[in-house]
Amino acid sequence: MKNLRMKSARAAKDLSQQALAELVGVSRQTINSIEKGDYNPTIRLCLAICRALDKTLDELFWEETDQP
Amino acid sequence: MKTMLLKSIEVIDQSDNVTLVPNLRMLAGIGVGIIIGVGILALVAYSRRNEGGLFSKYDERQKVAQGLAYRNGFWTVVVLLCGWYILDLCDLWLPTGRNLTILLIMLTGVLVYVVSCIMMDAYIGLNDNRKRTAISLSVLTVSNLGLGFANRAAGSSTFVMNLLVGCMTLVVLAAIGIKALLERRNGGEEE
Repeated sequence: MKNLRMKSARAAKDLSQQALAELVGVSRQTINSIEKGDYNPTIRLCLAICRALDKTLDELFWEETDQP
Repeated sequence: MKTMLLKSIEVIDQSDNVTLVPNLRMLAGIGVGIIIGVGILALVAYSRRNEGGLFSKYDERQKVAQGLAYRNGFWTVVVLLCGWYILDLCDLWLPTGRNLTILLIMLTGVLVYVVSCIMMDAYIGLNDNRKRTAISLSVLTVSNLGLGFANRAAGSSTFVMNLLVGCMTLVVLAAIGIKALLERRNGGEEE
């Protein structure tokens, strides 16, 4: 599943995928894969991305379901 | 001690006339090759001392992708070895001979691993430069192919190894080029 929240958070900070990748210490293709939903990052990487984008884990990575 | 050593390298099996004398020229050549290889590695390590050293660094996704690539390479080698074994059982000899067949199987496994890594963006490390990698591979390709043809002209029997390695690095270069073209065609990133 695509991670549009991460993409919009990155755009809000005016960061390219390459810039975010360098901040977080991964490759640009990894950021691209996470945003496209092709790769599930570890908690450590999730936290690093949240810190770089000033967001919480819930805001960027929580999957909302229809269940009450 | 000296007598034992001399005896160990000059054993002759009288029944089959098989000599177990090692090919000292080949051993010396391999030794020189190892020394030159270590020297080149030392040079590369020195030139990359400010970029994290000799070894490339990969992120977690790349390491996972490399694991899949290792699997692909492993099964390629297993399947080819099984195929060679079956051909041997059926007395169907390949025209390549034993040594060349082993080399071909090894290089094919390595090639499958490397191309899988390239296609999954797990070949170029975080501290690597794609252009410099391409230049290094180009130098390797040209030198191996050049050595191969030169050895063939000189009548050496080992020219095939150089030609095969040169072809392998050429395929790797082509894979890097194709991947770069595909990335450019897909607009790089941002969808």
